[in-house]
Parts: sequence; structure tokens; C-alpha cells
Amino acid sequence: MKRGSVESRANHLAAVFDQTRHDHHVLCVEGLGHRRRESTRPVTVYKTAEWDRMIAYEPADLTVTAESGMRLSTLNAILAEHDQWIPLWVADDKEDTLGGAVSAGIDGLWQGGYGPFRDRILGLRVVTPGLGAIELGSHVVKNVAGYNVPRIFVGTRGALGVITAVTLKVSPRPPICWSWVWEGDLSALMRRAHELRELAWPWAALTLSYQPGSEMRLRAEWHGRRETVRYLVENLGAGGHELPLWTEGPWIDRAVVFKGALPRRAMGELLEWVDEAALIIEWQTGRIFGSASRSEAQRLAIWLGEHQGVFDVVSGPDLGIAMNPILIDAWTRLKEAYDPEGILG
Amino acid sequence: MRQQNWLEDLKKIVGVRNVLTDPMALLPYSYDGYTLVESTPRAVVLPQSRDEVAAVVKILARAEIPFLARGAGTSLSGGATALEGAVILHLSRMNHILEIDVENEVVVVEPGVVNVHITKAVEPYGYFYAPDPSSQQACTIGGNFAENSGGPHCLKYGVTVNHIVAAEVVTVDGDVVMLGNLAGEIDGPDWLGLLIGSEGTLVIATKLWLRLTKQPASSQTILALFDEVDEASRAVSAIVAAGIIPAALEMMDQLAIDAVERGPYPVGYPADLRAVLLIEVDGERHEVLETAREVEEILHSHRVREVRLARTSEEKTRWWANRKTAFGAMGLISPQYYVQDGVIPRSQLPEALARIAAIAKRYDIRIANVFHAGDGNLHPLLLYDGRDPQMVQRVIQAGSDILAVCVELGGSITGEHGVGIEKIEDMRRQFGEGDLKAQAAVKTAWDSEGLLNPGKLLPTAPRCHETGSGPVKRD
Repeated sequence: MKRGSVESRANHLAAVFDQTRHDHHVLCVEGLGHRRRESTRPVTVYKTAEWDRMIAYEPADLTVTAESGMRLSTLNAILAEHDQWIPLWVADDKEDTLGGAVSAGIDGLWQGGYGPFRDRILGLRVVTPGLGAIELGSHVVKNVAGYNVPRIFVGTRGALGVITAVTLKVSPRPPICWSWVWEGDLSALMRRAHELRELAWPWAALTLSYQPGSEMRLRAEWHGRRETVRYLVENLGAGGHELPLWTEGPWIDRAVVFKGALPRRAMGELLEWVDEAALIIEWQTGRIFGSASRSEAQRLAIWLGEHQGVFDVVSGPDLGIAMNPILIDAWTRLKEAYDPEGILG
Repeated sequence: MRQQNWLEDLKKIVGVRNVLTDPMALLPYSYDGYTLVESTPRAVVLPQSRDEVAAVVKILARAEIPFLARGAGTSLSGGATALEGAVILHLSRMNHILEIDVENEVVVVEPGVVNVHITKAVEPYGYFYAPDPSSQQACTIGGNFAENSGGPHCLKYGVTVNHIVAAEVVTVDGDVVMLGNLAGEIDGPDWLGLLIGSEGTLVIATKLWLRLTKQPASSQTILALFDEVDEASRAVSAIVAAGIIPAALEMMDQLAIDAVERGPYPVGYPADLRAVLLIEVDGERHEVLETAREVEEILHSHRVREVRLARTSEEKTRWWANRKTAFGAMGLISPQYYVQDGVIPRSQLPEALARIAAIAKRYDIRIANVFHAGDGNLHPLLLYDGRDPQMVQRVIQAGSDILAVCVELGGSITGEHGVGIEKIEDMRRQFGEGDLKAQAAVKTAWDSEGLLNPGKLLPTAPRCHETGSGPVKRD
């Protein structure tokens, strides 16, 4: 099934839908399987990691279309030949496929410098049980023709259709990436983060990270021109090419891996409050990523809800976060069209 | 059960003075910035709060009367024109900036606030609101929400959907829903991202939380004067290929230059100039210096006649005023003009411009080009005289042919003006039947009866609403 036309992908998936329906299962589409949420229903797992063809790449247009199973690292290796890339670095350093990143609503640490990953999604090719194979969005960097349907595929875990190809806006690769780190007292680091924003803007990432039992760490990363890095080195010290994100050792998965965001006003408060979770906050955007036990994750979800923040499970159990009833109605009607028998969960 | 006394009920909600039914009062609402179609609304209601909007919507929905929201009426695709006897909710009284939240870098506004007023209000705090459509002196943020408006600076900063973090909206049933959050992150389906740019066909926005962008530490505006359009197009591609994403990268051709030089903000372009690029780079000061130097080098390697760097803020302001008044300046060289809006892959720019020139020749009309070259968003301005019905027909056909070229080259029928009435049939050029069904399902999910802004965006059969005056093609 690795090599195949659009039609053969659609035909094959139609057969998979039939079998899943016959088995009374739910179809769970997986890229590399890192971002899996637990399900209470019997699941048929369908792997897309071998769908890894490049479909179209035009460096001058800063756009690329590839099959959904292509790994981001594979794509970036191709784009690197033209000094371009998709700047997505997730704090747990795990690989993602393009379709997996879209479906799980994954985002990275470089949002401050490059914006959210979802803003790069120009178009999707999707196979649905209800409507068959469809094209959503476009292949150009600017488009307002029709509804922005790709948006409702971001983070909805393939519940409306199976993504078979993704069109993304690519970025030029900066001439230099450089980083600095500081550790110690939270209030001193927060003051430093504020000063950094005054010194230069926008940073590719300005993160405060915390692991249970270790010191808080501030890390600043600049992507840009050598002259600017020289200026920053004069002001901040030598720094280094790829200084580590976390204070001690690599990332450790706990029961729940989560992402979310909070208003800038509440960022310091969260860092003072957090205790048992590994947590990283991007200081320019308020985006968070972390890992915690189930009970700690539940506490954090409640805390964020009370502070106008957002909590979302990347992998782990469903924590039962409720949706507005009016939005449930809209979602139900969409499901009726895209996946009338609920094959996709 | 349809209500017969809906008009009286509306008056009870917003007051007698704020329900317009007099034909003379309705006349200004019979078209928007897209003047090729006229259609008089059944009535115009002027609510001044979210609760009034919700109450008005409930009354109209119960009476099965279609409706739409309207701001300044600057839509260039007919998005704010009432079809199928719809009632207009004119949101001009909801025009307050409610809060400037510097700490969270958000400004909270009502939908009737004029775009440029937002930047003026936040400038003292060191911020700006990035989307800057050319109509920003008049267009409202509610309209920007509906159309997902762009502007010259969206090349670097993105369009409206990238700058609205939350919205309070009224659904077709009159329910109030809050979407998004102060943090600007999604949880669950990205409804907000879907609704922005839905051309007022799914919800009515009553309050918006907009992301503020820090003013760049430094910027440099550059004018590049060319003797050949092709060379200017190639310079655009070379700048992007060099890994430079300017804040803005605009282009005007000779006919457009002729028009703007007759307008209120002449720059002093030589009369024989064939194309001009207006380029702005901004950011950290070292980045700007180096980038501007590199842009200059690229321009000089593309047979540029002259490169000018803005030396004062007054000079920069004039160059931008010259560019931003280009559409209006067409009135100085033609009785009327019709603005098209299509997108092509940037690499196809020379091909697209050559084909637009061929279309102008084929239909014996003049076409000026003023456009966002950096993202391939074309704005051909088709000049005509409305007193010549045959010429009007040729212009309409030429516009359609230009969109066909955009789609053929792998682009889109609209980059920022929307589908509206104008391009509803052109949707079939860009999307297949299945794709359109997928979009129709979105409409059904939010507005199953088709009451919100009917006759826009999706090519569907007309519905059985009671009709007021029908649309009239102007000629």
C-alpha cells in the first residue's frame, strides 16, 4: 500500500471503513503512535506511516504537499536542500508524521517566532466515510474561497475523516540559530524574560521549564542573522548552538502528556503553583506543554480552566473535558455528513 | 409558525428609530463595495448590544426571515448585500473599543469598530493590529472577521484568522456562544478558525478579542522602479527565494502608476515607468539593516532602474498612502472600475501577468494591476464605462477569465475579498462536487435553514424564503 494513486488510497480506505463497520469497531488512524488517547471502544488501528510520498514542492512558492504519513524529519531533510523548513519542535523531542501533527493538534516551542503550526496548514486531502475523497483548502499561501474546513481537522483526531495528504506553508531556514540559558529563582528568571523581550523581538522561543525536583530554567533561542546574534552575545554572553531545554536529563513521559495555553498574565502564577508536573511555558505566547500523573493533570486542567486557559490531552486517558452544548450540536451535524455511522469515533 | 408582527417586535427591541423600512432609507443598503449587483433589504435594524442582536435574530429566525450583519459595507464581493429579502443588522452602533489589555496583549472590541482605529488606540502602548486591508480607514472589524481580511502586511504577519484569539458570536437561533480564549489556543475543534472568513453565513460576531503585535524596533521601506514588469516579477521571486519574508511586498504596473500619480499622494514616479515594487522590511534593527542591504543587491541584479530608501517617516507614509489609495485613484482614469481578486503560486507571477494582458487585449479593455506580489495575490482593476452595456459584459467575462487563469495556474479564486455573490459560480472552478458537499455540510451544521446571509459563498439552489426585491445586475 506504500505506492498508490489518490484513487487507490480512497478505495483502500473505503474497504477499511467497511471492515471496521462490520467489526463494530472504531477506526483509529495512527502515524507513529506517540499521540494516542485511550479509548473505551474496541479499536481497529490503521497505520499511515508508509504513506510518505512527496506530492508537490515548489521552493519559490514556499509551499509543499506531501502524504500524511511522511515524517517531519524526512520532509525537513528535503526542504533543507533549498534552505527551507517546517519549524516545528515539540518539547518531548518526539517524531511526528504530518497527518499525526495535524490530527493531534500538535504544536511546538517556536510559536513565538513562527506562529502556530495550524496557521501553516493550507490544504488537506481527506477520505471520509460519508463524502468519500475530498480536497479542503488550497495549495497557495493565501486563500479565502469557501469555508476554512481544514481548521476543524486540526486536533480532532481524525474523527471526521482520514487525512491522506497535507499542504503546508514552509519557511526559509534562518542563517543562524543560537540559544542562551539561565537557571535559578523564578522571579529573577521572569524579570530576565521580560528584559529579553525588550532587548530583541521576536525570539524563536523564550521558554521557562520546570521538572519536579530541579531548578527552573529560562531558555532563549534566536533565529536570524549573524549580526543580531553578535549583538545578543555582547549583551547576554556566549550562549550556544543547541543548549538543552530541560535542566536534568531528557523528557520523561508520565501518564498524561498535555498541551495548552494560558493568558500571559497567569504565566508566573502557574509556574509558582505547579509542583508534580514537568512543564514548559513559551513566554511570548503562553503556550504550554508537559507531562503529569493523571491526578496532577486533572488538577492542572481545573486550574487552567479557572484562569481562562486551555488544557488538552496529547496522549493518555480522556479526562472528560466538556464541550459547550451548542457546539456539540454543530459537531453532531458535521459528523452526520462526514462520518454518519461513527466509524471514526 | 411564521410571525406576522415581526417588524413590530423588532421595534420593541431596538426602538422605532432603529428599524428602517422607508425605501429611501434602504437605498444606501442595496449594494456594497461590489456595485455590479443591487438588492434592497427588506428592512435594516440597528442593534447596539449583544443582547439586542440575539433578540433580533430570534425574532427573525422564528419568522423564517433571512438576515445578515453589515458593517461599513466595503465588501468587494457582495458579502454585505441582502439577497432573498433578507433583513440587515447594521452593527454601526456597536463601535466601542471595550478594553486594551496590555498585559495579555489583547484588545477587546465591538464589531462596528473601524479597523484603523484599533491600531491608533494601541499605538501609545507600543503595539499595532496587524491586518491592514486597503479599506482600513472605513472597514469594520466585524466585516474583517466575516471576510478573513488581509492587507499588504499580511505577507509577514498573517491575515485576520491569525489575529483573533476569541469571539463572542450569536448563532442563527439567537444563542450566544463564546469561542476561543484569551490564551489564543484551541481546545477541541477549531470552530473559531472555521467561522472567521465564513462571510457572515454561519454566525454574527458581537465581540472580538484581538491579538496585539509589538511594534517592530525598526523598519525600512524601499521603492524599486523598473522598466519591465517581467523583471519586477522576477525580483519578487528572487527576494523570496533568498529566504527573505518582507513585512510587505507590493507591486503596481504602469496604468496603476499613472492613476496614483494623479491622486492626492503622488510620489513623483517617472511617466515611462513600467512597474514599481514597494517593499517593507521590519524587525530587530540588525536584521532590518542586513535584510534591506540584501534586498537592494537582489534588486540591482534584476535591472532595476532606481532604488529609493525612505529617509523619513513622512516619506514612508506618503509611499504607503500612494499605494493604499490606488483603487480609488482608478476613478481618475476611468468612469468605473471592477476589482478582481485571485491568487496564483508566486512563481507563476510573470505568466499570470502576461495572460491578464492578453485578456485585456482580447476584450478590448484596460486592466491596471495593483497587488500583493509577495503572496501572489492579484488585484487586476478592470476599467470600464457603465454607460456602455457591452463593455460591462466584456468586463464581467474578462474578470471570470482571470479567475480561470488563477485556478489553472494552481491558485485560488479569492485571496481576501471573499466569494460573496460575485464568485459563487466560480467556486465550481476551484472545487469538485464532493468538496462543495463537504463545505455545504458546514453550512448545515450551523444554519440548517439557510437563514444567515443567503445566496453567498456556496453555489446552491435558491431557498423558499419570502422574497423582497430580487437582485438586479447593474449595467
